[in-house]
This record gives sequence, structure tokens and C-alpha cells, in this order.
Amino acid sequence: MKFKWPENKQEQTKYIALIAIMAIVVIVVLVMFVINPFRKAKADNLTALLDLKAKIENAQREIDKKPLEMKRNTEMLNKILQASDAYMLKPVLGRNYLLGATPIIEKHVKALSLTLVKPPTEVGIGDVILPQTVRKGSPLPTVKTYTARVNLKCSYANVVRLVRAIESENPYVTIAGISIVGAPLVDPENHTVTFDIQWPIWADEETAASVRQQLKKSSEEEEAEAKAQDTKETATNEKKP
Amino acid sequence: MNLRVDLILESEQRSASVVSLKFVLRLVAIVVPTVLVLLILWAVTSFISAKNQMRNLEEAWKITEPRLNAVAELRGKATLNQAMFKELEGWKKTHVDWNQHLQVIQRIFPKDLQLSSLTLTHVIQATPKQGMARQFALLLKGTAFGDTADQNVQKLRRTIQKSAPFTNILEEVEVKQFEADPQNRNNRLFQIECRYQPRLFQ
Repeated sequence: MKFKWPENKQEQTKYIALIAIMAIVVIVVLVMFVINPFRKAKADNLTALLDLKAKIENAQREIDKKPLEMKRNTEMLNKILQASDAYMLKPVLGRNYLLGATPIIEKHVKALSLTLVKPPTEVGIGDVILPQTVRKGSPLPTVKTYTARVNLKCSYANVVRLVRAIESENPYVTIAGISIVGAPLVDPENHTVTFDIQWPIWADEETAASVRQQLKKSSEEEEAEAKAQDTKETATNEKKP
Repeated sequence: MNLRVDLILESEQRSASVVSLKFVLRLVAIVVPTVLVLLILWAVTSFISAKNQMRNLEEAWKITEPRLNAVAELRGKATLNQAMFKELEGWKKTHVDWNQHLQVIQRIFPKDLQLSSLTLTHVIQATPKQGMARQFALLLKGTAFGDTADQNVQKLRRTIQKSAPFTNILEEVEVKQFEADPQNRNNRLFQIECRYQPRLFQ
């Protein structure tokens, strides 16, 4: 069927109006159901895209801090290990801390030509922070206290010398108690001296080994990271004209 | 006088204009669908392009995320190790050089008083809001002689308060006991307690 444009002007106006209505309907339908959904999907995508882009940029900034974090971690591990090796009391033959403490005490006593009334005795292991008082989510305390008791008969001046020797050798050690009782009628020069020496010990004996292992791994990773960085820099320099 | 006879019917009349209604309609029939098609094409292509960009970024994120997690894990470890080191350093912070304190007590102790015993005690306890701390107390027991016994004991108390290693570290110096010696009523037994400020671990 061939469409014939009407000759009558009134008919023409009707046709034009009808075509206009149909065109508007088609345009509205197309905009509503085709163009707009695509635009909305694109806008949503764009928002997600910008979010993801920002997330990646932030992540990259964090990743760039890796060498610094590695350095900080290695530094901490080094300091912990140094303090552990030099100043913390280590158990001997299993969990015997007294065997570790006795030679330290005897060394100082001998150096001052003093004599112990009896060998050092164990007061015990204690907590600095009670595990049950640790807040949820906070790390458990890693250090405990070990206290040994020393009994001597010596002058006041010698007590001062002995305490000085012990304290200057180890800044982490604490004299947790002293008792100096004089017997002026029996022996005015020498007093009955008892004092407690307190050392820090690891709550978990494996901590030192674990720190050592962490340090080794951390140093290796730091070295690898530095090498990777060098390679990257060399490649960038070669690309430049 | 002119006479105009119009022999053409109204329906047979044609416009002399170059732009006819038919032409306009044809033009609109071509232009509007073309614009619509172009709009649709633009919407679809830009959507596809955004989708592709999104896919690329997702791929980049897949590579970045494990690296970020590794850094976060490393930071966690470093923070834990820092806390461990801080805990250890607490021992250094709570350390008191007792040799200096003992030496100064020996130096400032008046000849008119006799020290019979010296006791240092210590507890580790939680302080309100500040965390764990060492609390030290030094108790000096002795005998004072003569009429000036009271003055001598008070003088010792004041000297301890003012002497060098004690000044910023002591909380209170108190004469806890001052009474006649049951063995010799002329002498006085005294006790001076030096309470130290809490030594905080943190």
C-alpha cells in the first residue's frame, strides 16, 4: 500500500499532528528505555570507576611506604634483640632462671671480694601486667619478672658498691627490695643484707628465637626490596633520552 | 478596470515557496531519527568505554590488593614489635639507681642518729589512668639520742627531702614513729618512711 500525502490542507494538518505525536512518543520511549538506562549505567560506572581509581591511588601511596615500614620493623626487631641478648635473663637447662641469675650475682660478689651467706634463692616469676587486665584486642604482655634473692653479710659501703655494679651493668634490672639490718653489739662493721634483684624475662621463651627469625626474614626482604627499587630506577633512567 | 478570474480550485493551488511543507517533513523524518541513532550510539559507546576502563582498573586492583595487604600486615607486625619494645623500655624507665640513694643516705645521716635498719619495698600496681607502675618505699629505722632527738630526726627528714637524687622522685617523707626506747628511756626510736612517686612503665 502506497502512502499518499493528502491534498486537503485540513487533512494535512491532521497527518502532521499525528506524525508529531507518534514522533514524540517514539522519542520519549527511546530516551526513557534506551538512552537514559545507558546514561545511568554509565554514570554509576563512572562513580565506581572514580572510587576504584582513588582506592588504587591510596593503595599505591601505602605500598610506596613499604620500605619505610620495613625499615621501622627491622629497627624495632634489632632493638628488641639487642635488649634481649644483653639485658634479659635467659633460662638455663629448660626453665631454670636461677641457674642464669646465679653466675651474674656471683661474678659481682667475687669482684668485690664479698662472700654470700648462702647461694641466691628464687623469689619467683611475676607479671608486670596481669593477662586478665589486658584490654580485648590489645597484644598480650610479652615480658614477665624474675626475682632472685641475695643474702650477704657485709658493710654498708660494700652493699652500695655491689648494687652499683649490678645496676650499671644492666639498666633494665631493678633492685626490688633491700633489707640492711645492723647488729652494732655483735659486729658493727658488717650488716645482715638481703636484697632482691628483678630481671625482665620473656613470657614466652620462644620469643627471642621468633624475633631473631623475624629479623632475618625482614632483613632479607628489605634487601630484595632495595634491589627491586634499584632495578626499577635503572630501567627508568635507561628509558630517558 | 482590471478583472481577475481565478480558474484554479483551492485544492489545486500550489505554494511558490522553495521550502515546501513536504520538504520540511522529509527533512525532519531524516534528521530526527539520525540524531536519535547518534544519541543512542553515543550512550552505548560511552557506556562500553566506561565498562572497559572499569575492567582495566579491576585488573589493576587485583594486582594492587595483595601488595596492599602485605604492607598492612607488615605495618601490623611493626606496630606489635614497637609495642613489645615499648614494654621492654618500661623496665628502663622504672629503673632507679639505688646505689646513689643508699650512698646519699649514708652521707647525710647525722652522727647523732643511729641507723639500725634500712628496708626498701616495692610493688607493681596499676595507677589510675596511667597504667602499670612500680611503687617504692624506703623505711629507715633508728635510734636518736639526747635532748635534741626530735630535732635531729626532723632535720634528717628535711635533708632527705632536699637532697639531690630524692628531690624530684619522692612523693612524701614522713616520720612514722617517734617514741621512747623501752631499753633506755632517754633514747628515742624513730622510723622515717620515704614514699616514692610511682615509676610508670609507659
